[in-house]
Amino acid sequence: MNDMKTKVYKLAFALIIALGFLTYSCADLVVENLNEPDSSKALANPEDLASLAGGAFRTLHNAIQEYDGPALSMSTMADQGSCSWGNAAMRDMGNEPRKGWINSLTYAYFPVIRNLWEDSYASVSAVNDVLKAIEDQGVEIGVDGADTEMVHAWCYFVSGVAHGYLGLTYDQGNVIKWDTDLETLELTPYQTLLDASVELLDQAISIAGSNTFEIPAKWMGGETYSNTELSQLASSYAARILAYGARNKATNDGADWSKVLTYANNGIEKDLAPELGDNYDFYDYYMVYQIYPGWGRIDHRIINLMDPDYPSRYAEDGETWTTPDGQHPGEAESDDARLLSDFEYVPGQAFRPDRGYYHFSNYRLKRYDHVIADVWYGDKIHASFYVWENELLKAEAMVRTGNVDGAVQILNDPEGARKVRGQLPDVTTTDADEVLWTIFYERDIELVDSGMGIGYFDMRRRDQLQRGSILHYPVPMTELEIIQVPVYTIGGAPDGENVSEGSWTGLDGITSPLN
Amino acid sequence: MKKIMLLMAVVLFIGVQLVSAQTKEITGVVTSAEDNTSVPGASISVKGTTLGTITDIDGNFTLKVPEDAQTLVVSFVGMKTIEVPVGNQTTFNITLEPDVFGLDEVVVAGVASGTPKKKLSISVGRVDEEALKRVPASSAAGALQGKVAGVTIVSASGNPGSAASIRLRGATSLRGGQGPLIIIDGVMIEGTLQDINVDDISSMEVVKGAAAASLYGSRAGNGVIVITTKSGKGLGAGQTVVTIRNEYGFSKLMNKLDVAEHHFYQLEDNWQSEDRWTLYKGIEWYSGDEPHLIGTVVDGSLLNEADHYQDNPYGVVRDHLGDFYEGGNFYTNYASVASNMDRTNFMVSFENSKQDGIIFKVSGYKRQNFRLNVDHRFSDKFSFKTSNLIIKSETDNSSFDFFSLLQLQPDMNTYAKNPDGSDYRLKVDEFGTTTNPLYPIANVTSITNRNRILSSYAFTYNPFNWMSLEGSYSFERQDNYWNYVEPKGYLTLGSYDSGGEKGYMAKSSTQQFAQVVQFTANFNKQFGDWTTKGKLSYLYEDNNYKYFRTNGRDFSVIGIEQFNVMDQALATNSSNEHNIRAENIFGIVDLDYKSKYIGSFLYRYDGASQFGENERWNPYFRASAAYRITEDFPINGISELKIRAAYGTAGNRPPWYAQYETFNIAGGTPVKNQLGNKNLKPSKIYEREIGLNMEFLGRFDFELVYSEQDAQDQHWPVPLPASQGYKTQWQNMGTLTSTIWEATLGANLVSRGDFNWNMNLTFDRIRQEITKLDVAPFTTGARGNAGDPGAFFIEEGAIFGSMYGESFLRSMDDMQDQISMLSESTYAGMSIDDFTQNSDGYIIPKGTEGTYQEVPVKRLDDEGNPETVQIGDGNPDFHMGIANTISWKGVDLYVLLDWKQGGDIYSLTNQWMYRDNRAADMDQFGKPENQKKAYDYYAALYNVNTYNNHFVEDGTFMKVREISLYYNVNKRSLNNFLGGFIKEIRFGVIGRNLLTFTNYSGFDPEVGSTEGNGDNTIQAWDEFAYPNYSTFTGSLEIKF
Repeated sequence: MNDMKTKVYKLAFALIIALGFLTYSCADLVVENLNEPDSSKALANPEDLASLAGGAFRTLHNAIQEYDGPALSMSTMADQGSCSWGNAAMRDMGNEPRKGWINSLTYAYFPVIRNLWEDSYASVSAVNDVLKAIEDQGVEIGVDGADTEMVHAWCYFVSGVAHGYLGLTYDQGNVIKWDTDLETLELTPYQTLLDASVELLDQAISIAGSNTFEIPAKWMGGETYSNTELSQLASSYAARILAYGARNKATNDGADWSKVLTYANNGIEKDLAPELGDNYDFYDYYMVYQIYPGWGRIDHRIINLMDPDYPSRYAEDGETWTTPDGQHPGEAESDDARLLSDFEYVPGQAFRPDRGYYHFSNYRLKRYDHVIADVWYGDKIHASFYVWENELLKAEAMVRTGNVDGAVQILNDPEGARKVRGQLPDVTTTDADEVLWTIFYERDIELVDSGMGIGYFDMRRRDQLQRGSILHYPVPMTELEIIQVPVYTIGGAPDGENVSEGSWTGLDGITSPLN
Repeated sequence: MKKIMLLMAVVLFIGVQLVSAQTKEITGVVTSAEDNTSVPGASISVKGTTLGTITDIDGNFTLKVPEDAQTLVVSFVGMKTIEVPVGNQTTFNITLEPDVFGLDEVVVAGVASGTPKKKLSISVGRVDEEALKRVPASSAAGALQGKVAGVTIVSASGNPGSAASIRLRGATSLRGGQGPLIIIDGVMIEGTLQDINVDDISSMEVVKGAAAASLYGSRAGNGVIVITTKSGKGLGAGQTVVTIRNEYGFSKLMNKLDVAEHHFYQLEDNWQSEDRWTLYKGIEWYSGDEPHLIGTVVDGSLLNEADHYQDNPYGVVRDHLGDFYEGGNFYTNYASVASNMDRTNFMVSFENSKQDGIIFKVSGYKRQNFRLNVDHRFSDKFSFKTSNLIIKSETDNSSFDFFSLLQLQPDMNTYAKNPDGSDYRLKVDEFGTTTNPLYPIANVTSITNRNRILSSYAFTYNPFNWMSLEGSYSFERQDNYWNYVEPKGYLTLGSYDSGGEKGYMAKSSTQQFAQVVQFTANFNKQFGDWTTKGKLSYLYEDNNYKYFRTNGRDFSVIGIEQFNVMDQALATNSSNEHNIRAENIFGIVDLDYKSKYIGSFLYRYDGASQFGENERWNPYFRASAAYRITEDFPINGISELKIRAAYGTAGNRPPWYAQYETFNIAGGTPVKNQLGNKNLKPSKIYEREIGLNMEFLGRFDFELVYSEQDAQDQHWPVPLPASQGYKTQWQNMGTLTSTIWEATLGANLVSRGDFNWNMNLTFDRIRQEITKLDVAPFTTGARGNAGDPGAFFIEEGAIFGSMYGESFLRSMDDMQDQISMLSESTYAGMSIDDFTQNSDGYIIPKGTEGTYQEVPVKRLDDEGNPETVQIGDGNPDFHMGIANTISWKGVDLYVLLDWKQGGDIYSLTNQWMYRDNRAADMDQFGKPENQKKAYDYYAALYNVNTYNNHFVEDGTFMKVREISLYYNVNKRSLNNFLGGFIKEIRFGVIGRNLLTFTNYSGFDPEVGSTEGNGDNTIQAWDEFAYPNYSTFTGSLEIKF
């Protein structure tokens, strides 16, 4: 009996082992990634290439308008926003006296320059892959290649904007076109990036001009763009990049303003205003932190523009004011209706005096409060490129090319923001400097917290950034380490090329001419 | 290879028919030399075979042995193992002597089969049941602390339910996470060790170093911990033991953090007339009728005091930390039944435990463990074994806003009402963004429920007396369910005045199923004076993980918290899943000649799905040897002297996703993310080890080990040039080299009648350096992955664990060295005579001390910019555990001290507290006028949160980890009570983490962070962690 049992056990055991082997002898160590696609899945067909290109503008746009990008520190450097919190280098770059950038891996706000760099080139890389497929491999996209030229134009547009913002932000960078040999890349000065940007945008304009298509809504954050509208947007970006690239007044004055005028004339007729939130994954966190309660405020310099009696700087010791009675000025007053519609007087201070009273401000921007109420997930639109900005570029280019009347006409346009929102009287002067001052006034009031760095670029190209402010950022140290270029930074002695020699301070209450 | 295994199995089973040797039956009794009582549960086996039995409740045994059997091996826990010649004898009277230092304890981990410690040629530490039950750790994770040399355990968070981090010897991974492979009754666990209850554990074996762990291959580079739980096996045949243990007590934060209680703002003249807030000059407060507005600022701004000294009083000083860390309960109820019924023995147990932790209104961690272990012998040749543990746990993950807690000004009223009438006013800070940390705890629900099953099944067949075949299957199933709710009306700063948010809910679920199948042939054969033990094994692992999560917003009703009452348009979903598979084959031979020349050799061929397709399969090996000198050369006073050496390899695997090329999908379109790597191979750890073991003077047992390990081909997501488009690629990119000294001394200090004093000292000193780096230097650490830079620098030649940042000069010599560079800096034109050292030791411009211009001088580079230099090193000089067990009559006192000497801590907590002037050392009140410092000075040290040497502190500590005082009721009294029904009563008091002696300024010098790429065991990083706390309990244990 026991023998029988033993045999049964043996058999059972042998079976278990054999079964085990049968089950597992197919052990396959090739395991598929079930979560993220690789290129064979993400780019399985030409439509996927279009999709790859389609996401590139969002990547770029979000990086430009990012909280952890240069936008917030540009704002404090420009004395447009004010914030004493260290986040995103707002405090370090808004520090008085101004300091240089710390290009170190251990610097707490290091991502500020790294993220924009990486994401810009990520966008460039994506569209270059697609351009290569179209131009080198003859890939056609869409039914009978119907979408090929749409994607073609789009790719040049994205690459152009990316190179432009790299050139506006950093002292140098790489120009990478689809046929560039990545092995022999070398850093080149910002001007080559700006030039490449305009050249790439021209290609986008040219393709869009000779084809008819529609850019899908999800590529642009919820709004379709026709070929004409894409061309207009590319033109406006080209105007922006040409106009904002100068590091000092001399270069700015010598810029090719007629070219700016041409681009602006062909520019946008609708705001670039993506829907923010999870629907399209477009975000604008720089704007959010500029206005979120307890975060950024509006510098008194801006309030002083609207109310020349209002001190442009907070009392140095917190109590001794430059007002006639030496007292706190209270609420500002202005003919500009936007002082009340866009700005909110806040009696208390969110910042601590030990960080410097110069961070203090009694004003914040309330214009976009409806956007930030649920911007984390909501569906509010926010403009990062207003038509009015294009109009102001046009006006400035007109002044600088001798057509002051044309500029005045724009400022007095009854449909324009100055009249509609500001409810300001018509500009009557024909003095070019005064008109320019009005244009910059309008830019400071109307464009604040729209596109990244507009206030900073404007101050930079007029020698008005506080002395010691950096005029551009260095290539991030991570990249320098990887490509084995000696680490350097921007800062130190003012030279007008890398570090500001001029300053706006002390120019209180000057209503004209200040260009 | 699989075919070979199959063939082997078939051949072996056919061979079974050949077995039928002549046998005889022997009987005997085993007694203890200590008290002449019988020893139930002692193991009797025939040397060189797998045959054996255990004694019954009266110490008797019966065993069928081959006619030619020569030697019996008799062993019992805590007794010295002896060998008894068989000859023609059939009845035996065997006496066992106590084994004070456990040299005869049998180790099963890392070797071919059970081997007494004295015959080991590799390093395996062991903590047995006796040591575990002195202070039953609240979880298995903490049970090793201070008990085994070379084991570093850091509880970076005191949060109940969070696991301690474990590192065996030196770090093997730059990426952090040095946790060893943990095997519980054959189950390789994937989940946390925190859920495993200690009352069930019979032993923990720690396989240290790659050489010892090579048996476990590509998952064992960090070493292995093998946990064995109790069974009925140790009991005498026919014996049943019921154990009931109850422990109840409380938890408390012993070390309170000092915070500043003064400020530097100007006060109104009548400030003393208000005791609810502070009447600052320049501020107009609301004091009308609306209760929630009382104490809010109507207008004005704070004004600094002219002297800039932080020594002005607040209108009221509240104890925020006391309110927050209120303490909580701690209890454990445990019951088990173990029985040995001839062919079957089992152990069934239940444990219910709860740790509230110490935080206000937080329920902490609740856990129920159910265990069933069964061994069954079908016949002399077939046996079956199963171990099963079901765990049910619940963790309160309430949002602990430690940051806000420490930034609260003393006069803020956290108990004021909100505009909606709710408690714990959110907006307590009238001058900034600090919110009330009590509010989220009181309003947010965040609970994780976890169910786990750990099961293993093993069939063993002994075809010959020198061979056994085992087929086993084990699995771990783990389900987590997380529920997070911010109710409708939940207040945030942005929605404070508009009635709050509309509600948010997230639920997520993870499911993990990890299985292991193993077939093993064990050999155990005596050839003359040679004992050989071997093992040939095939192992297959399969691990499947699934996750999904849904978030929703905007509840349409209050009180129902399900997605169907939320705005469907605002819901978002995510999910992911992955598989890991591995298989390998290995063989090991352990040999000894006359038990004095000992050797072990193993080879393993190991494949895993995590490696790139060109590098899936890799070999591992080990060779080790030991020589027991005293077997050949008796030395006076030294009863055992052994030298040993080992060389071997083990591996580490990269994360499952590392090898793939990936695109992220954002907004429905692909974005390049990670470049794939088909050549990604294991990180291999090569270890060379020598050791010495000595038992001397009958009182001391000493072990000394020196080991060197090279952890080559480190895994890292290497950043690519931006031009590539892909952000990173996982590469094998460096070598981490460690040198380790380890020593253990066991001492029987006093043994006089009823009085016994044993001490066990463990010591280790570990050095680790990055000896090779194929990529550009980079930073890592707690914040290294979250967008911010880390404070720990990875660079060829750097010490792993060293901190980098800016440095404020502390010596005039250093100032002299950089004076030549000052032409480029703000100090241009100044000479060394223009500087002096201030009362904190920093160099400052002369004449500025005590003024707002006092700014410490930083180390500068050639261009006059602050230089980033090494500012600290997280590695301790050494680490020691000192365990004392003192017994007198029925009283046992046990004290475990844990001493870490050196090792720097970076306190980001303190740096943040400088931001809001909350740090205690900023408080100037009570300082003599000539020693006061302006806030500007501290602001300079704060350095806008850029890492610097001011926040590096020495992390030396001595902790009283465990202390217990038990009384064991006299056995004779018990025999006279209830007819001897109760076998054992033990009661006493237990303290865990009672005291910490340290100069560290934070809550606790035991810190770390595994956020980002941090490593708790090396990178001592203090960043608003849940502090470790003390527990005090009473325990009563009854056995019958």
